[in-house]
Amino acid sequence: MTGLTELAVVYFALIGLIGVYVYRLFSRLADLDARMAAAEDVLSDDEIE
Amino acid sequence: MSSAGTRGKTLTALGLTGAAATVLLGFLWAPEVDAEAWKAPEAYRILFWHVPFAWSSFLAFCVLFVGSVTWYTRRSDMGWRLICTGSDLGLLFGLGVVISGPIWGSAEWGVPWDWGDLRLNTYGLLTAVALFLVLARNSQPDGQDTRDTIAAVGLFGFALVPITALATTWYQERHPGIIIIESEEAGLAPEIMMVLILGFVSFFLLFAGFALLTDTVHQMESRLGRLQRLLDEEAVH
Repeated sequence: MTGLTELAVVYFALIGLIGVYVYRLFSRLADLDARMAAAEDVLSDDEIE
Repeated sequence: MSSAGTRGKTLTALGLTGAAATVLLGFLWAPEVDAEAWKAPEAYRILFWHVPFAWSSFLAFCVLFVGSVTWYTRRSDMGWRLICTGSDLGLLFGLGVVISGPIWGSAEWGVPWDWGDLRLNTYGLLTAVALFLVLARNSQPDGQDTRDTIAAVGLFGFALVPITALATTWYQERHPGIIIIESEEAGLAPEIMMVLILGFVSFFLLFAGFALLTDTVHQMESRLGRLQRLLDEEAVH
């Protein structure tokens, strides 16, 4: 046994972990951008200030 | 998007590229270790991400600590955002360490966990603190009492950082020692050290990118909350 299976499992898991975080982060950013633009469209500039 | 968000995206892209290069070099360029001295010699390559993940988690807990102190001293939105960012990233990088460590332990030691090892147990507790903070933030109504409680737990979590970092110097049971400082003693080849250093730099960039983007998300959430309150007030009047 050289540990190749464990090596593969670890890197799949860590790449998955980072991938999920990046995906969630960017999805959240896009969602918030859209929601803020919608809210700002309804409110006038004076109200936002 | 704000300039912090743009910088965050650039740093994240650079960090991910460096992390990918670290894996490739770790697999293809770093030499094999002595098969006689290690039970699972190929599994050692786990350390090219495991160790930078651990260092990044310590950075995250430092951010959490600064946020907790800022929250207690100034009750500022900035302090709260640092708590949010520190706990999110502490959980992300902590989980990476807690996943990769026991798998390497199974291959090398024959057991995934050692309840008698100070480093393993304090680190496990540290990750549990980050998990608690993230769950508490998402499940409790946002208010000063909740923020006070979370900041207090954040301070307790940071107290575990020096204990965990120095555990292998004070009380080495099973976890290997500090490999960068004690590299000669650890017997690491120069190529291995170079890949590890590339890993540290890459994960530092990735950490900085994630921190800026996560902070941008929390800033936008806070601003959206204010806009929604304005909309509610407009609807009532």
